[in-house]
This record gives sequence, structure tokens and C-alpha cells, in this order.
Amino acid sequence: MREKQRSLSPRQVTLLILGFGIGGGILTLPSLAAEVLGASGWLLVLALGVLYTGSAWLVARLAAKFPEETIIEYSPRLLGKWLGFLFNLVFIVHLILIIPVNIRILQELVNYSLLPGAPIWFVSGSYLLVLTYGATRPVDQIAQVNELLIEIALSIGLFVVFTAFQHFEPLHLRPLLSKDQIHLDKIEQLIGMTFSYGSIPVVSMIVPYIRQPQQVTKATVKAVSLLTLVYTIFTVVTLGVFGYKEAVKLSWVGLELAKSVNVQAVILQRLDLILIVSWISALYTTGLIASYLVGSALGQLFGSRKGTAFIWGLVPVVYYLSILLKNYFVWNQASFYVALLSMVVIFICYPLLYLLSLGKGKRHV
Amino acid sequence: MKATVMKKKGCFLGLLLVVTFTTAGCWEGRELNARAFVTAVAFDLPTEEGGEPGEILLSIQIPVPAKMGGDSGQQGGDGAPFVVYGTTAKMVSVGIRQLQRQLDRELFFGHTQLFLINAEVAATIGVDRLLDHFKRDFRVQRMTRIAIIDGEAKEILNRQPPISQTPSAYIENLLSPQSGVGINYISDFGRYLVEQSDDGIDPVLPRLQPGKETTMTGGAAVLKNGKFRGWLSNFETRGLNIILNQGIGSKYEVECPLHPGETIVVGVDAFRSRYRLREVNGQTIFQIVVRGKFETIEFSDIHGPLAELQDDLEQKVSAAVQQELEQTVRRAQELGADILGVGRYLKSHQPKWWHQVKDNWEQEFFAFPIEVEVEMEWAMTIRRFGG
Repeated sequence: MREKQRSLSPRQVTLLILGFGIGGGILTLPSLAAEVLGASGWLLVLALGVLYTGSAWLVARLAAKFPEETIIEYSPRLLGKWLGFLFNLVFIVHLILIIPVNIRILQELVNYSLLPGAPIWFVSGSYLLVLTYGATRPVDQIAQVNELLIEIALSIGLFVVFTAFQHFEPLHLRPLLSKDQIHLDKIEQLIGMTFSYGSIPVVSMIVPYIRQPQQVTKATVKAVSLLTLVYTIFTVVTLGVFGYKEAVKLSWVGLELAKSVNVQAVILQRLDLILIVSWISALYTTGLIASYLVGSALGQLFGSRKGTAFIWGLVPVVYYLSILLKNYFVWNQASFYVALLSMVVIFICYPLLYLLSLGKGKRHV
Repeated sequence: MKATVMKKKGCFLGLLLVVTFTTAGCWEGRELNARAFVTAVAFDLPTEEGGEPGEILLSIQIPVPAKMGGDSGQQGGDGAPFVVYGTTAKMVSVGIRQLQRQLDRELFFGHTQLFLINAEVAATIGVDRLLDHFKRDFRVQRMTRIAIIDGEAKEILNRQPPISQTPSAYIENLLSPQSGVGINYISDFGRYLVEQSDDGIDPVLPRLQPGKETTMTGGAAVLKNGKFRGWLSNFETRGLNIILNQGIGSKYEVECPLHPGETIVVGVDAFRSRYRLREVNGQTIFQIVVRGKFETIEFSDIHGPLAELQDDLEQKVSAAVQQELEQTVRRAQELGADILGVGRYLKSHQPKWWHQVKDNWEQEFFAFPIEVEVEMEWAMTIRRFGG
């Protein structure tokens, strides 16, 4: 049964983790990093990336121990029925909460750049419906859509970054770790940064669909390493172009970067618009994968193999939550809590599950 | 079975219909002719008497598409391919609202190419304050050019360019690297914002002067704390461009080393400037080291390039460039504005030292020992030797 469903290649797994991770968070990441470490903010992005790469290895090893099951299925066996159920609930809630934040970010990007007058019910509503419809498709179709969209978005994003090198000022990245620029007390910004790295749990949910489960660790570590590389390069260039003092004043610093550069070719003169259009794809892959994981996880939690009904059932809830995130400050606050929850899952729950799995002596792939 | 196929086809056609109607337009779509594209914005002091303190005269230039494309050659007025509107207000947003009342279409700043600010307004109200509205408007590009006007800014908006282009595009070209003039300072809105935010560097903006016939470029305005502090002359601006590695080329006139009184014009380029700190007798000196190349391009004497000229000519050109750079440094110190980015260099390389002096940097910079060292090399690609 499982063999027939095993359709995902290691490359698709890598891209699913990238597609889930790269969304709206990266557009604000350099500002948050600069608020905490000033000109050396990129070092923080790199350090977090290394930390998350280590966690990715652990999460992937855990997934590889249970190649036939998702984390929703094996966690009650490791933690016990009730604790396992509680963990599953936290896991699912953290995934659900990503979707309204994702919708809100899309709403803001669309409103200030593409359709200034478009109301929330139209933009968020239609986006949510498209997300939900996409999430009801089989995982191999989602992986194919993600493969296409995230590669387009990443190519354009990297094009903007390399074009912006013309304004790069190395002095903006110095001094390294200057005392007066270090604000480790800015916990909200520090934790908010991890929002961009929270895509590791994808692997725990898709391992039963991977063609070669023995490749899962390599694919996951590769994905998070790539994520780290992309974030670090982006932060280095952004801080190098703007300097940390200007970067912290900008909300969508990634888009401002695109507004700062100009390529003298007909359609490339407004790089910010091209970036926004392509970044909607990146936002879509995040929302799509999150929605799929929520549906799949709820289906398994309540003993139904098809999560479609759960996904459609959650539409009004998610829509309502997205409306509650009424402005930049509110959704930032919400993303802080989502990131906090994600950290609990990744840095507390996963290591605990891994330790418990060692004792249970399950098959190791 | 047939009914199912029909149902599917019906759904598909229905979906196609919805897509056809929705993708052909956009939400609250506005036609191009329902928008007034503002290509340039100017700030002056109000001309009318009885104005309140802090008021500005806000002017905008809007192209008239129907009149564009021809050589009207007229100075503004009815035949010009643009119109200029003005209003007096304390806040820019309020001014824009007032201007909107005179127009049947929505003012749109997404294609604004120029911000022109009268020097007096820049000194009293401040550039930072004036541009506050625009730095918060998502539609405004960071590549928009800004210039400080030595005269009335609105006058420039009213002037038809000498060659057939829109006036704002003409001025924008004058202020962009394509002008190819070493005495112009090239900057834009984004660069201004970065320099304004940064510690240890003060922003500089290009100068424009409305002349009798045409608008003159050259020179630059020095800003301090977001307000106009003073002018740099044409040659001081060229010196600043060299110090800041702006990639300029220019021409210098030097005396012929073999024949006093005769002149050689050299074209200089390939400048590389770098900063370093040097200890001399226990004192730390900030050194600006400049290297560059030159070619001889015109001789007033009967001879052309000669091998025996080489060492002396290199010294002469080096001395001429060095003198200009030293004058630029002196002017920056006189104005108390660190346009060279000395503070930014200290912050990067000597953060402890910078931490001690940063609060009093204006005074520190005034007396800071800065030394310039220039070495120019004759590249000598020669077409003709004799006279």
C-alpha cells in the first residue's frame, strides 16, 4: 500500500522544506537581525541556520526511524496516549497558526503594491480558497507545484540580490559584534527570526511518501543548509546596501532592496513589482504546504486517511484568524507566538521524541 | 455517464467564464487617463505675503500626454507638454490634498523622477522633514533623484528643456551618471536615506541652478542633521567624487613642465581611493590615499607627448589633484559635516575610539588631522607625438 504512495524524490523533499520555509519571513528577516545584532545581524542568521541544521538532522533521523508513519501516528506510542495526543495538538495548532500569518502577509503585499484598494474579503478570501483547494490535492501534485513555484521565486529573489551588489558597501557590515550594537534583550525580534526556519517538521509528515526513505536525512539537512545559505546571503547584501540603521527602519526591507535597483531592460525596470509577483508564489507554497500538513495531520489524528474535510472545515476559522491580524504590529506579534511554538516543537518535543525512540528500538533506516 | 460528462463540461465552461471576466481587469482598476502622473515635485518658500511660518510652496509637474512628442520649444505655458501646479501648505500631505482639488484625476507619485528643494527651505525646514511623506509612500521609488536648488525650484519645473524630452526626464539625465560630468554629485532618494540614517557620514545632494536660458548642474549641497549646511563648489564636488570612489572621469589643466606658461590638458580617470589611519609622532592621522591614471589630450605648445615629460607631468597632475582634494577636505571641515565618511570609517575600524567621540563628532571632525596622498600615473596610449 505504502509502496504505491511513495512518489516523492529526495529533491522534492528538499524543495518542499524550502518551499515551506521561504515565504514572507525572509522579507523582514534582515531588519529583525539588525535590531538584535546591528551590523553583524547576518552572523545571527547564520548561527540560527547552523542550529536549525543540527535540529534538521535530528528531526530527519527520527522520521527515518519510522519510515511508514507520520509523527502524528508514532508520537502517541513514544509519549503515551494522552501526552502524545497533546503533542499532536500542539503540533497541529502551530501549523494552523502559520496560515493566517501567511494570508495576512500576502494581503499586505498585494494591498501596497498590486491592488491598493482591494478589500480583505476578496484578497484573503480568494487566496485562502486557492490554498485550500491546492491542499486537497495529493502530496505528489503539491510537490510538483511547489517545485515549479519555489524555483521561480528563488531565481528572481537571487537575481535581485545580485543586482543589488552595485550598491553594496562593505563598511556597513562593520564592526563585527560591536558591544553597542548588540541587543540580545530584544527577545521578540530574536524569536521572530526563527519563524523563517520553522519548516523542518515537514519531513515528519511526508516520510511515508518518500521514494527512498534512506535519503531523507540527507535531503532534509541539504534543505536547511540551503535555507541558511539563502537567508545569510540575503541578509549580508541587505545590510551591506542599507546599513543596519536604515534596515531597522524598513518594514519590508527585502522589497526596498528591489526598489533600490534598476536594470535597464524593458520589463526589469521595476524589479520590486517582479519580486512581489514572484514572491506571491513563495507565499503560496508556504500556505499550501502548511494547509496540506494540517489536513493530513488532522485526518490522521482523528483516524481518517483523507484530510480534505478538515481542510475545508478549517477555512472559516483560518479566515477569521487572518482578519484578527489587522495590522503589521499585530501579525508580527502573532508570528512571534508561532515561532515560539515552533521552537518548543523543534527544540523540546523532537529531541524528547528522539531520545524515547532510541529506547523503543524501532527499525533504523 | 453522459450526464456526468455534460456536468463536468458545464463546470469547466462556468469556471472559464469566471476566469475570463476576472483576469481581464483588476480590483478598482483605474485607466491611465484617470491618473495624473507626477514626474517632479518642487519645494520653495511661499511667494505670497502673510504666510504662516513653516509653510512651503509645493509644486508638482504633470506631463500632458497629448502634447508630448513634438518640438514645441516653448517655455511652459499653453504649448508645453506639461503643467505645473502649486499650493502653499505646512504639511506635504495637506499640500497634495489641496492640489488634488484642482485636478479631475488622481495624483500618482509612483513615477516621480525628481524632488527639487530650494536651498532656503532645505536650511530652515529640512530635507528630511520635507521628504517624510514620500519615504512612507510605498509607490515612491528609492531611485528618484533629489537636488538642492540654488534659486527657485518651481522655475526649473516650468522650463522647457532645450532638446525634445520631458523636462523632468531631462533634469533626471543631468543628475544621473549618463551626464558624464565629474563636477556633478550623483545621488538619489535611497542613497540619501541610507546616508541620513548612518552614523559618521553626512549626506550630500547635487546642486541645480536655474539660469537664464537653461538649468545648470555642478556643485553640491552639504546637509547636516537633515538640513542644508552649505555648498560645495564645482571642483570641491569633483574632489568629493574622487574621494568617495564615484567612478568619475574628468579633465585637469596643468602647466607644461618643460615650457612654463604653456598648458597641457589631461583626462583623468580610473581613480581608486582608500582610507587608512597612520600614526605620526604619537598622533593618529586619517590618510586618504588616491591612485589614478591620466592621458594627455591637448597641448597649447607645439609639442605633443614626450618621454622626458613623464616624471614631471605625473608630479604636476598628482599635485593638481591633491590640491583639489585637500580643498574638499578643508571645506567639509569648515562646514562641520563629515561628507567624507571619516566617522563611518572610524566606527568600522576603531569602534572603541568612535564610541568615545561620536557624541561630539562635529567638533572632533572640524579639527581632525586628515592627510591626502595622490599618485597619478600617465597611462600613455598615444595617437600622435608631434604638434
